[in-house]
Amino acid sequence: MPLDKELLAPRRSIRIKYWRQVFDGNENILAFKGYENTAISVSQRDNDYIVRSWESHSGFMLWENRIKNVGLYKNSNPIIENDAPKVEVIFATNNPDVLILLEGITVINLNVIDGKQIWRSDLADSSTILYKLVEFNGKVYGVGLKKSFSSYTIEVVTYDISSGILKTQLLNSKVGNIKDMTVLGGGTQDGFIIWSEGGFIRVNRLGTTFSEQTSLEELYENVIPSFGDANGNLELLDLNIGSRTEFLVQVPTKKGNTAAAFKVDHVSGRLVALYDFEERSENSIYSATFDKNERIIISRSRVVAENVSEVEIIAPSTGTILGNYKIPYSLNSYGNLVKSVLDVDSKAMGYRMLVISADGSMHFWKDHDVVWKSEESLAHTIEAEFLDLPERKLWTQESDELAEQPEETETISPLIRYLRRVKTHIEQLKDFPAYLTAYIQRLITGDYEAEFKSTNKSKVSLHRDTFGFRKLLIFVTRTKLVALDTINKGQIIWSRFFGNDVSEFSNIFIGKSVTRLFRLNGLTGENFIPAENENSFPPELSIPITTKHDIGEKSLKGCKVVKNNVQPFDIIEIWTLNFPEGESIAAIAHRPPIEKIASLGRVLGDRSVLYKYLNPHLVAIATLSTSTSTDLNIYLVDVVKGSILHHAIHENVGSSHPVRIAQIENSVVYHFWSENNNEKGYVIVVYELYESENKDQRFESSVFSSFAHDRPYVSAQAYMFPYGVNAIGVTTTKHGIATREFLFALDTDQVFGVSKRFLDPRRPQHVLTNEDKEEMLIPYDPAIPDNKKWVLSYHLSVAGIRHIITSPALLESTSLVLAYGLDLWFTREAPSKTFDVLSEDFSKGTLLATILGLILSILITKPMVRRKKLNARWY
Amino acid sequence: MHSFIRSSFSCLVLILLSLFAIPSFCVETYKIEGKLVPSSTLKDLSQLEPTTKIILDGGKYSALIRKNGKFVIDDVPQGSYLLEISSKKFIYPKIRVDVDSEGVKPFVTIIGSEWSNTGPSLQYPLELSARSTSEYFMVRDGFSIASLFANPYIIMMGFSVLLLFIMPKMMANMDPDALRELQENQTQNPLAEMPDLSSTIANFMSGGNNNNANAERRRN
Repeated sequence: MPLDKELLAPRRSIRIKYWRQVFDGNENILAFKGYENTAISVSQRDNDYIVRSWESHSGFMLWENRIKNVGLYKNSNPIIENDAPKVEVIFATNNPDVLILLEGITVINLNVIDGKQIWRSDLADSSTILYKLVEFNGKVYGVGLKKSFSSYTIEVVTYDISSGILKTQLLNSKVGNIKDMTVLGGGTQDGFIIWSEGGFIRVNRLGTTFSEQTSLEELYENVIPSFGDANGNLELLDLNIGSRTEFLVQVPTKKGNTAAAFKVDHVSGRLVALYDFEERSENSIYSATFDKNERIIISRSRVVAENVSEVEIIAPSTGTILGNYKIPYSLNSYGNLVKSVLDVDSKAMGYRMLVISADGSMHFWKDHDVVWKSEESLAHTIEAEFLDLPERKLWTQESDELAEQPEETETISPLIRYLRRVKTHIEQLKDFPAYLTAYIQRLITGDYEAEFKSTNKSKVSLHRDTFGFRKLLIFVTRTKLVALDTINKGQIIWSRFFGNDVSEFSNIFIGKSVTRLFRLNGLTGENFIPAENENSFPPELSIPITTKHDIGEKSLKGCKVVKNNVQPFDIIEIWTLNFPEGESIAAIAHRPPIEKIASLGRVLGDRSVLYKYLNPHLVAIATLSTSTSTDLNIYLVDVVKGSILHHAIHENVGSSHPVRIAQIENSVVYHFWSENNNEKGYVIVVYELYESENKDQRFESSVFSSFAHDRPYVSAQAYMFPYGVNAIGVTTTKHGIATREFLFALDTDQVFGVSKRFLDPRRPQHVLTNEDKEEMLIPYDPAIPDNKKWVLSYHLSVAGIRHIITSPALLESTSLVLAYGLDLWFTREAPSKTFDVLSEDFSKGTLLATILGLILSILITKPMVRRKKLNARWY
Repeated sequence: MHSFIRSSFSCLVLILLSLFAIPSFCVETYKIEGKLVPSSTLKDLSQLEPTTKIILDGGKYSALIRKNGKFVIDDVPQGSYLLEISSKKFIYPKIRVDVDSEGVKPFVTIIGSEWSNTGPSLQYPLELSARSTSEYFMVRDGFSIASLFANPYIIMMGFSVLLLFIMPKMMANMDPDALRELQENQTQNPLAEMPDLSSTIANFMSGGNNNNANAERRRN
């Protein structure tokens, strides 16, 4: 069961998602554990912990319990650094109770059936932090570390399962680090604490004060020979196999690392060595399970070469190697292995394993094969871009002919050239049957993408389709680049893991704080090798750019990139725009860098024109001020000189819902939650910027310059919007002729498209005049209709969308739309309907039937007419 | 948001200072409770998605529904809120909820109307039923012979074809006197006096007189 930050989804080995619950962005899942036919999740929101129970087959919530004031008595300076488990969830063996450890000090006992609290206990002593809970024989043991002078002492807190705290007890111990300690057992058997101290491994049976100890030297010499080369500290690995008491000890050696399996004997409480895994040069990950004979099975997996990983399946109790499997695995794409979960087939020999890689991808292995893999890192996409594909190359012989040089032509006689052409055509003839079948198939099904949907995944040729619907989608995740095909349901073309070189990507093309620049071939993902005489970057840049425009900033800075003698480039700050006290940036919208505008003006009903204000350096900024009431300020800024061209204020704007803003052509659209007395709800505002308020009037200068003192005329209109919005996108088409459609990622995890005609500040608030009708305006209505037919993603759930990007196809009517965030969703949208292709609704059957009907009627009437004509001659 | 954090922080300080005071003393909060009930559009609550959410004021407070359709939103301070039910399958009405010291009062509300106008009040705890199902798809009209024949053009065509066959038979069965009368009537038909469009245009182009043209035509 995978566990993402905000996501809860059970998954079985077959690739079907049963249900999913996506938590709010400000709520983090801390623990998740199954219990009979329910699952318990613990999440944190602000300062409260929320425990929920879910029905595992349907995904319905059964109960919810909010736990408040956790960690109130906690010491402010954390006593133990690194990755201590924050939350621990265990289920009692004999009672229907769930015990939850929060923040290392609070233990809560809830009834699993209805979520009612049975007892709660907060540790008063702030110098102890609990790490583990173990339950057996009606008692709950919390094992933690207590700070003493130079190291930590193990402290055990005992609780009665039905009433709460009993006693605390310190063990005579010295532990340097949490990794030196592990807790095993519990449930149906006794629990044990194992820790390494000095040259010994010590074992304590929970509930007693006595501890057994084993000397490491003795272990190294006699029992585990591979530990002889140890070159570092022991690390105790918990195998997470319920109440079993087997565990692993891993040790780095000079050439790599080694590990051994141990077991705590239930009766004597002593350490028993089970198996020596021997030294390996690569890092290994381990996972364990037990087979139907209750025998423990451990897997050791590691990447042995660039393209191969190896899995060893071992039964330590008998010391036999059950299997050794080589599995194809690309280190370059996924990085190292991080975690694995093993399951042994009931039929003894086989195994199944779920592996998680450094990039976050999941792989499901069965014996020698990869059953499926899933690119989970795409959920953390930072940025995405469309990449156009090249056209399919002309048939080579034909292109040879076309590329023939004039000198060459002179040397060949016309006859030979004619024969060569005939030969080419004859050779092309052999492709004719395939072409014909493809043509007929296409005619019948209307599917132009069939040729790309090849079943043979290994050999996909990358070229553009007839309508330009096929593109590559390049995703930049935190440590990885992934390229997907828009056809074939987003098949992965290539992926490349950068985790070893790059700590985090911040941007694809414009580097904000990138220390290294990568240049890759977009089609293959390999490093791009520029041609000899090509300059990788233009020698001089002096375009103004804005930096530090991150959300939450209190000012906007304009910078300029100039060529410098020392470094290749230097950034010089040219202006700073400080917002008034208390205001910080909530959202920013730029105009898209590539934008096709069909018309410079808007033609009105009386054939006069309003000229659009098209400033490429216009940036729309929304700021929120929190001085008295929350105000939303909208600034339109020219980033060349940092001047404010327009400013608007909305009072009483709720901060509970984020503000979103978008810009295209001469329009700006923004969405927010309004708390006004007049209008409580989501509000959407649209601006249209014109050069003048008057018709047929333009700026005096024929050249547009940011340094001219021309300000746009802003025409605006506001509407109530039926939904909360998380991202705004706009359709883009090849020539920009088709009516634009604004795309909204809704709170309900859907994508909603509203035509520009509805978001138009010229919508008249009076009865339509003839001129308005000529302009095809829609009368103003305070609410944007909640038309479910406008939902592009219909009932599908596209969770957590953060961005919507679009790209034109070769057809003017169609725009390619990608929404990404937690989920990825790609579609084609025709905002003005598909006017340049036959619609899918077009019934070829009707057409054929009509033609047949006409032929039939001609056949019937022809002899009748002939007879009549003949008769007419006679009489 | 900031003031909210600040107030909760001051709460925290207060709690720390007066450890024995009742925690609910600093901000009085309320609980909004309710239930989604089956109706004619939603017959069985198991048809609801498990992700159905109750949202207050655009996500300031929210709660998931439980399996039995019940929902509880905890810790709501006094104020006036917009309550929405976020469901992909069903459409629910939007509710205005006023929370004050007397308790929770729900009202019906319509988007686009002024917030100061409260609609009719509802019972509390809330019992909400789905208004309709969400229809995302337009019905595609497929090909059928019946729809083809329902087309007015086809009916018109069929009728004229029918007349083509029936008229001569009717004419043949007619009384010869009546037929003659009919033909005479036809020549006096006022429609025949109407100027012919094509000839009008032709005359206009050539500058001729259309009366002449009509007269000539009649002579023919």
